[in-house]
Amino acid sequence: MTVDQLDEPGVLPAAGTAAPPPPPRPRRRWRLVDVAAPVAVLVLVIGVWLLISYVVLDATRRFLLPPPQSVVQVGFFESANLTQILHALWSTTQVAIVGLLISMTVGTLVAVAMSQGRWVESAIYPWAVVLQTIPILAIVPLIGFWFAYGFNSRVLICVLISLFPIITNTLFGLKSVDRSHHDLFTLQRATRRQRLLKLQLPSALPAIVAGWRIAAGLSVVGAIVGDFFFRQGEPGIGRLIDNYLSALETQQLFAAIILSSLLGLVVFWIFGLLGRVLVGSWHDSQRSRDTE
Amino acid sequence: MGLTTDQVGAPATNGNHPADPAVATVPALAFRQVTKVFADGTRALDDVSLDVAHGEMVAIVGPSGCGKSTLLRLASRLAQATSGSIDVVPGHLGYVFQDATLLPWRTVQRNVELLAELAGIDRDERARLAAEAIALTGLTGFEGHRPKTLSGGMRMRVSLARSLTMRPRVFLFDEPFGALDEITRERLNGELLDLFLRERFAGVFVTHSVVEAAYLASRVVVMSSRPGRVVAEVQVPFGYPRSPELRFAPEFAELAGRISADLREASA
Repeated sequence: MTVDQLDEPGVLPAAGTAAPPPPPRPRRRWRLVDVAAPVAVLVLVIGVWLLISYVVLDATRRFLLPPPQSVVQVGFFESANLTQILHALWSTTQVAIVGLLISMTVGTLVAVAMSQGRWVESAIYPWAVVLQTIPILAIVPLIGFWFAYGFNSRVLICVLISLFPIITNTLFGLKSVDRSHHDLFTLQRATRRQRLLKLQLPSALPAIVAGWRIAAGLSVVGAIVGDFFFRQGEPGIGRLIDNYLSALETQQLFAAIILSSLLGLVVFWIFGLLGRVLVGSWHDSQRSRDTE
Repeated sequence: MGLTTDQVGAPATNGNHPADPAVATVPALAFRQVTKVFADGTRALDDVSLDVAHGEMVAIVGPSGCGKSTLLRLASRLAQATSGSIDVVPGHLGYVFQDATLLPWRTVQRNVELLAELAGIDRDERARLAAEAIALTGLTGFEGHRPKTLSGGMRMRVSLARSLTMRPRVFLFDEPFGALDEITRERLNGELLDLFLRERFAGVFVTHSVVEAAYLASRVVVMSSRPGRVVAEVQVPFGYPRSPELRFAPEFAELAGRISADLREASA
């Protein structure tokens, strides 16, 4: 018996039942290799980076790949630079959040409508696919042309790019309810509304949260793309990256790129956590995804 | 205390159904020359006629694919018969599926309350109904558990409790204990008989197991493989209540042997 099994809350056997204790929940164990291996990769990457900065590139061309310590020093420890980057990052994050919230609302409503009638699904699904297949960069200039080059247009790009995974994941979840569960509700003559609220939506929750997670990452991408194209209002991180590049301020450029990546990571982590909080204790797919 | 009369689907009685000779003459469930052909042309059932009286437990045994489950789906109107008629006494129809079909996001308590909730019974009343059913099925102490933390036998108890809240007059069991180990299964057989004697519903119990059928039922119906037909009906001469030791009595072995022989013939 391992420690993991011992600290599971025990189930008291009820009188007159043959219930064996529940199987111990497979719990993720922290092993040294899980920490050491990624750290080793990081060390290797930094080593290669240093090698290129100092050995491959001579001093006149070192601006192409400034060594990591100078990126950290200029980008993160010079407070004017850090403030500028964080400010731009926050502006981009706001756009991504608003776009994502709109996508979540619209996408869920569309998916629910599609799940309620075969004809609604037939009517909408091909167009959702078309929306997904439009190369987003191709219509970005048009969006600017129509809706000006400010906040609204940037949000619209986020919505366009993140809507599809929400619709498809939600619809998939709503439609993958067990037949026997549907039978149970049919036997009790459940109304359409009861079936949706008490069966389909809770049952779809893991798929819905997975859709949110994908959409959140895409929304960040959409917001940065918007920054590149739309230059009205507060500068976002995309525009700042563009500016740094033009000015050949590569230490700041790398710092901005690293912080943008961190934003993506944080978003991924937040939605992973949200998934565990919402469905963690009961759903199999959530469990298996965690232990992968 | 009796239930209030305005509850949807629940009979306005308190579970003690006095033997009423006038009622007893009308079967609780009657299949008349029922045939079911699936959309793909498969003949699942062929000319099946079967009566189940009030307070009677009928077991149906047969080889896989003989349409046993289809019979239950027809009785519950989850599927429509191709021809023939099926009459079911009005009132709630209990149905226990092969798997427990619990909602994994709900606790035991909330799972047991589900049917009452769907029927629009108010919160206090359904909590009372659930508490009663939970006590009857030996689930006391497990109210806050989620299905994932329960064993197969416990999940089946929750499934039974869920149906019991609605006081079914007719109770259909579709191989509910088929996936359980033998010890759990025998224990649940005993508990089911206790419930049967207490509630006196009309039961139809579909199973693969001859022993289970003979132990639970007052009559065992043997069906042939596709298309499903009734090939034999065996009266079980033992009265209720039955003790677990009955399974080892020579008369029981003889009866089980006879049903087994019918079943082999039906599968041939």
